[in-house]
Order: sequence, then structure tokens, then C-alpha cells
Amino acid sequence: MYDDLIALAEHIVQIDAAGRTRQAHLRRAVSTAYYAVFHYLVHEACCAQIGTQNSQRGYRHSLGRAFAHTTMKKACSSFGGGTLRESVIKGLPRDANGNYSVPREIRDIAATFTELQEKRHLADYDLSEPWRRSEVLTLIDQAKSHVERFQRLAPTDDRKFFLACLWAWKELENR
Amino acid sequence: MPVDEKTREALALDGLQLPPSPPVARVEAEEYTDSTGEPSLRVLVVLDESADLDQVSGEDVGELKFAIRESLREHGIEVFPYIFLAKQSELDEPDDEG
Repeated sequence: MYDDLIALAEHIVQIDAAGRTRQAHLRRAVSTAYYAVFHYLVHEACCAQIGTQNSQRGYRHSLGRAFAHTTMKKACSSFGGGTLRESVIKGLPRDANGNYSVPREIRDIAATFTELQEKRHLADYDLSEPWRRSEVLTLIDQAKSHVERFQRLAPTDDRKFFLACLWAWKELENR
Repeated sequence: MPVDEKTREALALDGLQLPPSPPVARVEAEEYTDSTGEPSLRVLVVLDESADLDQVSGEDVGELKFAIRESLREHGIEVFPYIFLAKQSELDEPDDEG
């Protein structure tokens, strides 16, 4: 799903390559790029939870329906901004300075998800917000770059914890 | 709404560890409430007119945004910054909803 949606987002921006890109196309591209990353993260979280076998697909798809955009955004803004509360990281391994260090690949994809969700909202609902072709293209490229880097990250406990927080955040942040 | 002194300090161009590309002319910020009602920042990075936007990669932009988020975090600012990029010439263009 991710590959097709991100390619579609790029295609939409290029439809008007010869002239001025229509605002409707730019808005659709931002929205499509958001859903590409949304489905990517949900897929990765479900794979981490259920497994990656084809025979487990139905379980992944069923679990995937439980993910909530707002919950994911709240988790991602904390991971992405590097501002995880003590109540969330209680008990996790710390560095020499006593900090829980979030891997850069996680910080980047989390920040990109947060940013894309807000920009999708503006693109879909706020007509007073003009969009520029250059910004939309770099936003899509940023999403691709951060997904690729996250994809290369080994299945560490940090990665699994981040992916679990995408569905468990609401309960976890209030403990 | 204008931001406080600490935020202005965190976003001061001479203190930010920005990557060489894309070149930045100035950084503006204002308080913002996002679509989920969370207090946040809206940051506008105005790029130098010499920036070749066709050559600016997502990786470059990611580095620039990371540097801004890091500076805010190091200054103890915990709200999330939504970062927008544009050249001044693009900002001066009339809005066209067509």
C-alpha cells in the first residue's frame, strides 16, 4: 500500500509539470503522502505484533483497523520532538547522562508523520492555506527518505516499543 | 501570536546548526494550535533566493527540520514545531486556488 500511495502522490504533483500546478493537485498529493506513511506505520506495527507470514495477513488487517490517527500523532509528536515523558520511558535503558536515547530513524519518521498529518488536515480543509509545488515535492521526498531509513533499522526493542506506542499511547502516557 | 524570548533564541539563525543546503535567509515562528487542539509552533523557514529547489532533497530538508527541533528541545521547548519552507519570491506570489 505504501509504495503505491507514495508513487501516486508524486504522480499527482507531476500531472501539471508543464505549467502551474493546480492547488487541488497539491492538496491531494499532501493528503496521499500522509496516508502512505500512515499505512506504512500501521503495517509495520502489525507485523511487529502479529508476524510477517502471508498466512497471518488477516490478523494484521484486523488489528490494523484499531489504529487511531490522533493517538498515533500524539505518540509521534513526543518521539519526533524528543520529548518523551518520564511516565512513558520509566524502566527503559538509559545512556550515561540518564536519558533514554531515541534512535534518529525513529525520531525522523515520527516527526514526519506528525508533520504530514497536520499538513494533510490543512490541505484537505483549509482553503486559506496556499500550497507550493516545491514544498510538496520536498515533503514527499522527505517522507520517502525517512521511511527508507526506518525500514533499514534493525528490529530492536526501541523500534518495537515505538511501534507499540502507536496503538498503546493513550493508556501509556496517562500512567 | 508572537513567540516568547526563549523560542526566538532557539530559532535565531546564528545559533542554529543548519546544514549547508538549502541556504536559509531567515526563520519566523508563531504560536499555533494544531488540528488536534495541541499547543504547538508554526515555523516558516524562508529560503535564500539562490536555493535551487529542484536540487533540494528530502534528506536535506529532513536535516534542516531536525536541527530546528533539536534546538527547540535543547532550549527546553516541548511543543511540536510544524515547519514550512518557501522562498520570499514564492511568498510574494498571489494565491491561486485554481
